[in-house]
Amino acid sequence: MLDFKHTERTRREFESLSLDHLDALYSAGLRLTKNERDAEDLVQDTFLRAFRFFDKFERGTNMKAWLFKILTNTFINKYRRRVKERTVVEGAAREAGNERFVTREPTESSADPEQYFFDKLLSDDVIRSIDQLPIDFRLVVILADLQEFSYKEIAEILDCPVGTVMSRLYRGRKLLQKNLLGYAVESGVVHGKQAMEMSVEVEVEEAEVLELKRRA
Amino acid sequence: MTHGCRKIEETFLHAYVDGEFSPEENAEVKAHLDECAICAQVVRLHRSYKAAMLRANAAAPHVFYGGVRERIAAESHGRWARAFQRPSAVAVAAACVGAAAWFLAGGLSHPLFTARHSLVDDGIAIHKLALPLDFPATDPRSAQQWLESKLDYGVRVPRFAQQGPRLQGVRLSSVHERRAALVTYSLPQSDGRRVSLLIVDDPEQQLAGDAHRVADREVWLSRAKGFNVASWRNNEIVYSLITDLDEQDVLALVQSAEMR
Repeated sequence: MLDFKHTERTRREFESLSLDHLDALYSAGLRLTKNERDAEDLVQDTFLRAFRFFDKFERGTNMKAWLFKILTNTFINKYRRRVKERTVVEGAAREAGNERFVTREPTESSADPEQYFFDKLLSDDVIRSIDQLPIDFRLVVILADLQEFSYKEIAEILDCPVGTVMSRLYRGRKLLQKNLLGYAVESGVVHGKQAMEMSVEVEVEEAEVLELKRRA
Repeated sequence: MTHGCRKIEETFLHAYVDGEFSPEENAEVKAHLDECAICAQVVRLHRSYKAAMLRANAAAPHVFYGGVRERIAAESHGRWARAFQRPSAVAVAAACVGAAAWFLAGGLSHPLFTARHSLVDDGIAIHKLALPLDFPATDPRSAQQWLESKLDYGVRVPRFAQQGPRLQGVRLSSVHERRAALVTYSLPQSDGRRVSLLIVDDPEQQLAGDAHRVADREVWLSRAKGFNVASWRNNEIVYSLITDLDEQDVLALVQSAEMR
């Protein structure tokens, strides 16, 4: 029979399990869609879908990974095209966007400036560098480095082999670090000469990146 | 992929920092790091990279929590309404008689079978959120032009009489996976209270509420959560006015809305 209490209980259970992950989903959504409004829509959709399929969620398993699987699928199926279209139109406007970053001052610089180059980076530069990544790399980097999922969890979320996760992560990180280095030189955090020395370390297989960009 | 040490690959060191290894494996790597400056450097660099990435995380706007919970509540509501579609959920004898009558009266398109509250509930949820405008405008024509460049269907941004609602701007939204527009007005007569107009292309939706006839329009009025929602169609597109004004004032607003 119809049971209001059951529905109400389900809703409360869903909220208690899912809302803790809202910030994480929003943060990832923001780096996937690159703008606040699409991120909000994407996360709203994710929560609605998750609630609709909540009876399929195996209690006691990883809720965060389950929600992220829905988030990435929703993004790939629905938002990717829209975001791409809009990026063309609003690319310039977005540059001046006012995203809410959890900004923090770059941490204290260490004795060896070259070694701790990442410590001095600005979050804005990190974000710009993430946003520049082709989507396949961006996905794994977001899941691994912003959300700290394990390789196995990422493989499950993206429905691909662990080996693929590892190779995309390696190349995605290298490419991101290369972008970062560019910004760091631009903003004077790192000097050109240091960058030259470091760029040897962050060499990327360009051909492969271009191939992925073409496919995206 | 060489980083100068022949014993351990760079990806392996990354996996170590990423926490992929067992305690025993960790101990082995640690022992190697104590004697290999090259690998120790890779590990330090990767740790510092990961810390920089974590700092780039963003927090959701506070108001967004409320919005998500509202949507889930609305969905939960709709789920109960949909339960009527399951024969097992309805008492057998009553269902047989009732179903026959319902089908005669409009079958599956009967309001009871559709998630008829959802548009009203979603509209109210979106109205309450008061999200920032995408395109602030006081002139209906420019707001309309902006919307037409963003939506794949034609919309009219209504004009009101001089003392009526004043246009603030528009925001893109989505309702039931359809692109929607939210037009925001303020009421100078009522301490600048907000009025929202939700515009969505929803050909199937049976409008909710009691039918009224206002200025040659069929208007459906319904009340929920302290808001009055008046909905009507114009060229198939659904317009829903959401306010906390009383019934008569809402209908008066609809009457004065000029859709050109």
